[in-house]
Amino acid sequence: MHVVGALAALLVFLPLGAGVLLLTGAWRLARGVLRVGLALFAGLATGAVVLPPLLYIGLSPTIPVVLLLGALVLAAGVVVARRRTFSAEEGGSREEMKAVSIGPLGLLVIAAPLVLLAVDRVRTRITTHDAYANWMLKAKLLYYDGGTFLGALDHRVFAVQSGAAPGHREYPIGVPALMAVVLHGASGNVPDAALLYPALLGGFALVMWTVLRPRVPQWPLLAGLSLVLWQPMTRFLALDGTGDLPVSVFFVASVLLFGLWLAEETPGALPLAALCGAAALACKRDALADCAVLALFALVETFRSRRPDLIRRMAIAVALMFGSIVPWRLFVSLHHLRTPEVSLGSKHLASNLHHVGYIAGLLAHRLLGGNYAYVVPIAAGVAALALVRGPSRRLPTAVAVFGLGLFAVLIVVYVNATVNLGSLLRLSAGRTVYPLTLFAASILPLLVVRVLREESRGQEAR
Amino acid sequence: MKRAIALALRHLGSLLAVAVLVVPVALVAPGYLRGELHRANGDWSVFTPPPAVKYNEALTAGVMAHVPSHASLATVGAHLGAPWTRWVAYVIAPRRLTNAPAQWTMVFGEMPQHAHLHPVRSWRYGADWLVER
Repeated sequence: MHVVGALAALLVFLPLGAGVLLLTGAWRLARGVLRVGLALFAGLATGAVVLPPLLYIGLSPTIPVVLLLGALVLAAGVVVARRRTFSAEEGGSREEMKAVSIGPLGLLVIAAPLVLLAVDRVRTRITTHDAYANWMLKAKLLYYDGGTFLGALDHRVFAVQSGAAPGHREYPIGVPALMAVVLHGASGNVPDAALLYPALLGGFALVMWTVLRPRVPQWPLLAGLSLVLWQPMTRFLALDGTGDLPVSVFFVASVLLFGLWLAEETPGALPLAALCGAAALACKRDALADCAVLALFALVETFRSRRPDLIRRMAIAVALMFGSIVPWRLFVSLHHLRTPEVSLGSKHLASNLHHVGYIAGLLAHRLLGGNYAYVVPIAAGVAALALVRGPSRRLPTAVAVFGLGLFAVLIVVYVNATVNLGSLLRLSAGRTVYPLTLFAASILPLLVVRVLREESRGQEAR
Repeated sequence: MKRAIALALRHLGSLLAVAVLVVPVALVAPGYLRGELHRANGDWSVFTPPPAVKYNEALTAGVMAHVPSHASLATVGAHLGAPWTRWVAYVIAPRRLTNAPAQWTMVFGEMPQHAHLHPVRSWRYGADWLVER
């Protein structure tokens, strides 16, 4: 029954997500089951962004709170969507966007690994130190403390140093807040409530389908989805119960949606991209570095278009994305919570600088491992091939520059380590490279198809 | 004829793309399946500790049975910085481990009286005790 309750609790994010899709204009991106899946993913992303500030002001992450929030956002979304349709019809400029759909085969390819993962998830207890000392402990405390509407954030635990307080109290609490809502459905059963993880992964797969399906034939895209979903590290992190999977799926979903908007200015893609980026920032501190690279890349790419309207819209989206972290940073600052491991511009920077080669080598060694199904070297190889062969070099250049940017920013983060660099790398490198591998895996179908299409066009011309 | 060749090439491209994307999955599949089999043979309860964590499971079960949720628990004879305390904090949550004296105390390796506690009630779990003051 806990499993049914957990699944029902996940569904309470649906009205919230539907409202967000209507508000952002992303409602027309997809139709049918795909739209429902996108709405759930958008609802979870919104929950990750909105629930922590609500916690800070005294509201609890409970099912009634999420439903009330969902009702408000859905009502606002319906009004805004009606006005948008009305004004478009009045102006006679109603452009029909072709909504993406997903068939039974696509659903089967996504559902098969997810169902296996979900079965594993409910049968797997939480045993990773990070999970039980930090993420799930916070979620349990948020679930048990507080009432139906108020008072779940106990400052004795989250803000003041006490006996065995949760680890990393300086982290954002998006994931524990989402977990706490699902725990209300699962009657406090943590392994069942962690069905949140397969749900997030499924939502990400549907975002990937929405973005890539109009550009990639069905079979290569199905193979690409399998690569993402069957990747051993994906499974490991989904069973782990830490913040690494949520932060990665929200971040890479944001990358794909920003890419979609940069390539085609698809209506609704930009606000949804900013929302997913904000959700990544609400999940883990690591996302600050990844999202900084994403924001820089997106802004530079938009500036190159020399179109003031696009630059303005992108600047607003990036500002809103980073603006979402203000409540969390205020809470951390007010309670003097500091991270003991990494601090930008720390005095350790000078002593760590000569370790750059060691850091890069160890990160590269992880990326070349079988746990990531070799996706990064394959994607790098395909991008290099596309760059050499041409004629269209925009996509491979963007993938290469962005991938190198993510890799470089990881080096910058580790160079600023304030603890023993070797042990920090050994403990965390396998997880911190995951967003990069997920990005490589999700963009690989598009890259491969583009390269082969150029090849066949070349042969056709010859 | 040209059209037919182009069509064939287009499908060949898709097939090649599928092959490129399926190879990594095939390479990692055996390890994945081994992991599944290993997991299917596992057996655990809520108190079974993670590898490398050693603690008094019976005492923790006693805490869950007797100590009201949201109560604070002090410890005597144990350091709260020890790795196992994180696991115990997770299992007994929302009860909280505290450095300060509290109504409830876990006493490790000695009698409550030796720890200068005057119990209203106490329960023994091996060498350790749960004490209500």
